[in-house]
Amino acid sequence: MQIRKKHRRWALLVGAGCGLAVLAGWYALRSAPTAPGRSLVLLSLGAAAAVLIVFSSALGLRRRLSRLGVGTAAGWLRAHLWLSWLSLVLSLAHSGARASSPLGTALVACLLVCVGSGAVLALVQRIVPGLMAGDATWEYAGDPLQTITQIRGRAYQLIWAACGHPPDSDGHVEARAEREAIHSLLGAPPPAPERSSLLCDFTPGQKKLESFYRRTMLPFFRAEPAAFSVLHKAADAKLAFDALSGAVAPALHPTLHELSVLCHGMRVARRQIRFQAFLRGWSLLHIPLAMATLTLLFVHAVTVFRY
Amino acid sequence: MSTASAAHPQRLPLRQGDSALTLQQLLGLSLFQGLSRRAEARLRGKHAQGLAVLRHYRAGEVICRQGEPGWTAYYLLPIADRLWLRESQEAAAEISQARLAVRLGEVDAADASEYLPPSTAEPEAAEPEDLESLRQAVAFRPSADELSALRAERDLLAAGDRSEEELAASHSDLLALPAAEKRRRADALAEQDRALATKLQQTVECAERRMLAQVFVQKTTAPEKKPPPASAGRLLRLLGRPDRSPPRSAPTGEPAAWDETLVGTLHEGELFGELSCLYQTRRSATVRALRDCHVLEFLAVVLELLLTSEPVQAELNEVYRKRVLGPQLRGLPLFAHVADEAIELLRRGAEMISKQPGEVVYEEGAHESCLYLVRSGTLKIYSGSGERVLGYRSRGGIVGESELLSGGPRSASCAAYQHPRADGSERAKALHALRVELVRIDRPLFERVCARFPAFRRQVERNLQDSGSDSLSHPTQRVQGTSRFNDLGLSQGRKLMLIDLESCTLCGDCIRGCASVQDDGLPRLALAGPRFGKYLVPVSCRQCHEPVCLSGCPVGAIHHGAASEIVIEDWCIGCGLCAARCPYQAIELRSDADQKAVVCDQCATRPHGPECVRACPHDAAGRVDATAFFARARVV
Repeated sequence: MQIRKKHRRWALLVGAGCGLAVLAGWYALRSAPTAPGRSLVLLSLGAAAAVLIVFSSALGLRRRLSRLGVGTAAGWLRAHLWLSWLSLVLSLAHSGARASSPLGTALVACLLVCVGSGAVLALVQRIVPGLMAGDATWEYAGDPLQTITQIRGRAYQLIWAACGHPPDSDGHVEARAEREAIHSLLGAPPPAPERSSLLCDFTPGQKKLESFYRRTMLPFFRAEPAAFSVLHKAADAKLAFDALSGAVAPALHPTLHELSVLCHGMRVARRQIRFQAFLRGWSLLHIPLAMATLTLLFVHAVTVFRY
Repeated sequence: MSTASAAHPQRLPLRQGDSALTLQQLLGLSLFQGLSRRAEARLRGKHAQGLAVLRHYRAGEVICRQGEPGWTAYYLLPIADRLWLRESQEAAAEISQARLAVRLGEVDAADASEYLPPSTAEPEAAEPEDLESLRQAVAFRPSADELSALRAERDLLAAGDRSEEELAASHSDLLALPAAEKRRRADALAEQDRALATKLQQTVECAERRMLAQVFVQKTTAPEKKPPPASAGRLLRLLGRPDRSPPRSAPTGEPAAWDETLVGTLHEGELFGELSCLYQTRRSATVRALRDCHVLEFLAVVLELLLTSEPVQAELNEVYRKRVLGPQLRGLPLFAHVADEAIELLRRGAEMISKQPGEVVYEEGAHESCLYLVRSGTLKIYSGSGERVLGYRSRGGIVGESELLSGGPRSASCAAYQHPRADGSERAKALHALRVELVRIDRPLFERVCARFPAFRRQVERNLQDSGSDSLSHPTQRVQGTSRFNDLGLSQGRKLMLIDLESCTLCGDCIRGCASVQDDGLPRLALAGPRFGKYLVPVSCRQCHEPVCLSGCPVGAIHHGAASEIVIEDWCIGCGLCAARCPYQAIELRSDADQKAVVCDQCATRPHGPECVRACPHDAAGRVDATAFFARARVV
């Protein structure tokens, strides 16, 4: 999320609201220092905080109410972000920043962690998309998993063209597993190369290339423990491909170059997946915290009014 | 009048008094007489029925309204065509009555064959017709009175024509007079030369009877300024809520806000609405029926076929010269404040030319000093071999104005715009709508006008200085000049979907939002596509300036909607031509049982705009006019 001009107004409004809440809390505590939360002013602050917490939790509802035209999602997110800060300040003012009851303390602590995680999530959403955009390739596909499948299919096709036969034609187990994996991911067998691009069987270096594909590239493609693959790091991969290009015929050099580009694409796609997992991971932390806060708020409200 | 076969869906909605024509009736009209065999064969194709409707308008009724999306053209039916149609319907009614009698068992088939022509004697062997369409055909039988009235009118008009010919030979001065003056002269001559007075009267009546519709242009009057919004409104704006009040420059729709001016009349046998139909623009005027008339309304696909006939093309060029070119020249900043007579000379002398996509108009360094006004399509101006694009000129734009004045060599090259990865087949190029139509004003014509009006050159030179002819080297053009900008066809995007990759978290809410507003629940947006700087250009309709998808649809199912969005009607047959032609893969063929083309309509019918944009929680998605946006955006 980019903090843009549109946030300025919210920041001003919430800043003013926080100032007012602190002043009201200070005034109420001065008037009745022994019973925080019981005076009318503090009770109002608590009620306002509860309303804001409930509203902030309703962000997910917007998606379901989109047909009703209830504002833009970005507007809702801005409101969610800033009003949750206000709700935290209101809660603290309501409690007088004291641990008066275990439930109230738990609620404020949970809210604090929830708002904090939300702030970190906003920061992550501010930074990570830029990193992803800087890392992604020129032609951009939204789903990195799809990119990985395409890379695997293309590598299989290149080896087939360079060696003159499919990599699994001699019954090699790993190559056959790769063909089957591509088949299941693409929904079709790996595409055969054009006849004109097929090299004859006796080009020097074909065996080494095939072996490199089977032993080095396939484990890397299948994301087996990456630390053991030289292709995991760009510098190591460059050395490996340079060494291989010295051992094969010049006719295979274009293939090697394209394979190195594919490996780079694979590394980028993997990083994209990690970035996405990181983004979603924070959401997975934030949402349960929000649910817990809401539950505690409900219990707190019932306890206060019932007992 | 008889209706089209019930097997074909009615594409243009029928109103009270309208009727769909059979193909035989349509092809019998005078407008279709010069049609090539190939075009006729296409019209006779299996999907061709229901592309035209015969409408009946009463005096004062609006035929088409200014500002509406123009996706059909109109033809004012001449009396000869009306008579022919009614006579053919009389014959069709007789045949249908005989068939109906056989179907109902009232008459034996053998007896009925005596009344039927040989080709239709065996109804079972012919195309099966349901009882309802037979009954309708019988019901459309014209009365004897109606036929005789039509014949009388035809004779009257023929007599008027004869009188006009005779007067042209003997009294041409009288013919040149306005109608009111002719009538006055006829009254004055009634006692001296009765025959001459009658002829004069006949020519006036004849002209009036042929005048069937009036053209009005509406101009908005400036609305009064409203007071600033109340404090509550300011508070809402402070909170970032958009202002919901209607834009102040937009017309309110109240009649008082519109100023309607009569600008011309239309006569029988005239085409109108054809320019907006062909170029898929909004109607430029309102047309009202002056008297009861019959109008043939047809879809763009029929017009495209008509345009394969050279006489129709030539006629359309003349219509353009007569109706549009003058105001267009007058509206150019280059010709501001010049004498009307000079504009008139330019209008008459201008040449209409057309270029195929990709065809070069002129090359850099060439000594060819003409001014080109773009009538339709887009011109690309570039230097070198096309790597560096300096700019584009769309409808109403001009190129070559500096060279027209200086007579020097061209400073840049210019070619008709071609979409990247566009369908370059001969068939596609043959489509009229894909070509770039230009108006050429050459230097000899310009010099002639200058010689006749000495102040003209000075004024044009002053205008050229004022308007800043060097706009092509403006710094805002730098991004648009990059080869990638052109390779991606971004200049075409009127409402280009862009996703700021520095803000997008790939949450997919835009796609879910899109899917939530579709009837079939399937999104019209894919979060994949080429990248331009920090922006992703996802696969979605971009509302091209020159939409190639609109031309060539065999059933005329694709057209512009009220908000210039692309609309695909229910009667789409799923041929996939539009999808294949779209250079940006924005049209998809849904491979379900009811295979049809689908396209993003930019949520034109929704009050809050595109849902994909509204659903993005990070303000990363937006719909922009690409040329304006990238002129000021930081891209790389």
